Amino acid sequence: MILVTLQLRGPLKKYGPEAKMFDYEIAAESCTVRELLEQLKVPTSSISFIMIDGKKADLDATLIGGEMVIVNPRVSGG
Amino acid sequence: MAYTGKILRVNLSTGKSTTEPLNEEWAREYLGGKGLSIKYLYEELKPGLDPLSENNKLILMTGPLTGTIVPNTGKLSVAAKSPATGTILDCSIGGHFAPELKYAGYDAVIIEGKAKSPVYLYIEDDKVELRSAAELWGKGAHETEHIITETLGDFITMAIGQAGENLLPMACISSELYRQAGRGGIGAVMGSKNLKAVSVRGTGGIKVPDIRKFSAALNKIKREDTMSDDNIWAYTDGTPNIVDLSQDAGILPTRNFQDGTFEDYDKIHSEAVKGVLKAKKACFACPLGCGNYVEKGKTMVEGPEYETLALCGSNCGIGDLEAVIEFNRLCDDYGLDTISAGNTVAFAMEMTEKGIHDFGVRFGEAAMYLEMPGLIAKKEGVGAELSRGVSALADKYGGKEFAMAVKKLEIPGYEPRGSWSMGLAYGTADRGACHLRAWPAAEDAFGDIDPLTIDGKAKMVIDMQDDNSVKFSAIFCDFWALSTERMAEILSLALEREITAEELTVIGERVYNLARLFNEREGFDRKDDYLPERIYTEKLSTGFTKGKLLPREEYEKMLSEYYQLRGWDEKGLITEAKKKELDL
Repeated sequence: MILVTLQLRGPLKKYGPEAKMFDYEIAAESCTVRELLEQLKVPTSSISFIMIDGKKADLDATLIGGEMVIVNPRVSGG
Repeated sequence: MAYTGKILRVNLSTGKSTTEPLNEEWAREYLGGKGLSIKYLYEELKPGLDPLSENNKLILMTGPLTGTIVPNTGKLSVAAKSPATGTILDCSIGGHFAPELKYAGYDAVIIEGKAKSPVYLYIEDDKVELRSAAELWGKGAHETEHIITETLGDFITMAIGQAGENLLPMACISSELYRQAGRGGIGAVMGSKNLKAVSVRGTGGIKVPDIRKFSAALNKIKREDTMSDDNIWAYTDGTPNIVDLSQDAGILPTRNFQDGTFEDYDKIHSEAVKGVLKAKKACFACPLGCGNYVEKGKTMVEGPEYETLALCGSNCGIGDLEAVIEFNRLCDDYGLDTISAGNTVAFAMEMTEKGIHDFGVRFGEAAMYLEMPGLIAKKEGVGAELSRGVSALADKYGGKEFAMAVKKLEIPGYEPRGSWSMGLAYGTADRGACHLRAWPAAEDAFGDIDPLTIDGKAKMVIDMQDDNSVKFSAIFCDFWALSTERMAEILSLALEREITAEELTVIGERVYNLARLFNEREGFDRKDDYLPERIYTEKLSTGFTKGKLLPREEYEKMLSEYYQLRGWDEKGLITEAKKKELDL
């Protein structure tokens, strides 16, 4: 069991407890970002990019617990 | 027929207005909006004319879908030759003016000449008059709108403030207080014509073939496409969303583009704006309603948009949301483009702090910062010099390496050293540094493509420029990320002729090349497609993009590849073969 801190930004908030930031328990020793998003039912088409502990990361990055994960939404225009 | 088929031509010198048929051949080739207004300007303006002379023309152009229930089609194109850059200039303004003009019976208004004294243009269906603006001249855009609304009632008005009257290169046009046709000095074109405002009321309507089929189809498209996850950020957050993305990606302009992250970004990001949100606001026929009407302390604005939070916030070292809101409100009232105003103030701040020239304003100091919009718009005190914009200031005082502009148009809110594709987008945009011709930051800095390589970036920027060109000619708002297939489907329903996505792609390419041709005729070529020196030589110092820059050799290669893929020569001039291919 591992714990990560999550920020689901903008319209992605609806996939979590509608909080700015929250702790999330994963029932495994480790998991990928992709698996985490699957658990939360966040469609990967809805995200723009992921940050783990302040660094850009891709969907196959592995989480081992204690990370701060930011999930940013897709945007169009500017 | 979704077009009205009629154009209103107003000659301010003679005081006479006439109507003429819409050029249907041009409407097929250019659709409306951006493309069609550029076509009229290309055909009617003599090369080399002074944009502030009576020989310039101001075009207000709707699109074929304007005034219908098609989502996100409520915007108006406003075009002229740019006083700031000397290039072609097309702007886009939201709110409700465009449909009102269509209901009055016009696809477009072409405004020529210069009035002998200040006037405003009154349009009520067939009734067109030039009314005295003697009482309005010298007033802000907001007071102007209020007075006209008290006098006329249910009209939609667009107006200039003192900045437009004073012919500033960063003067904009405001409508419904907080919507703008922003960039390139479009407000100065009105000011140079002694035209204070345009007010319109229309009581007609639009016919589409088979309204029941049309409504059913569009309601389905709205639910499944417009309101989908791709676009819903506009509804839930609006553009302040992008502050967090830029901060994370290290491309948030900070202290005159000296850095890509800002320590107080979380005082001006989406959550902070939501904390002072009073109401969401939408343009005509828009279900996304990106507008955030906010109030804090004694100030209020519909905004601030990302560009304002970046250029007037982090870029000025101001991490105080109330100050940014007030700066925004002042710019909207005085009629100043916030991107150019923010950049100009930031330039002045860096010049002052470096001891090169004391403009009396420093990063992070809100008091003097808030004096700036008034001083600049009225050309008073230090504002007299600052009103000229960063390029003119650098020519006179120095600091050229960090005068952040391309073709003299100040740079928007994405640091090119953290997104090389944005550098190319700025360099090759038709009206000077612009993020709305192509926005490739969405794919690299904010996506999973490496932002610090030139690979594939030229093609990406070209595709986006062509896509946006047809999108802004059909007139769909930027914030609906719809495919050309979807555009074709909707246009086919509205115009009762089959339009394909392929045809639209060609129109997009044609529009973009016509804009380039206009600029070529004015003497623009490769030499004008470069970025300020800072981008090539100074490394960023914090965050995700620490140590990064955009090496000049890489930019040269990217630019050459761009010209090659575009079918232009090494000097950036369109080849004869390409002109023939696009019927230019």
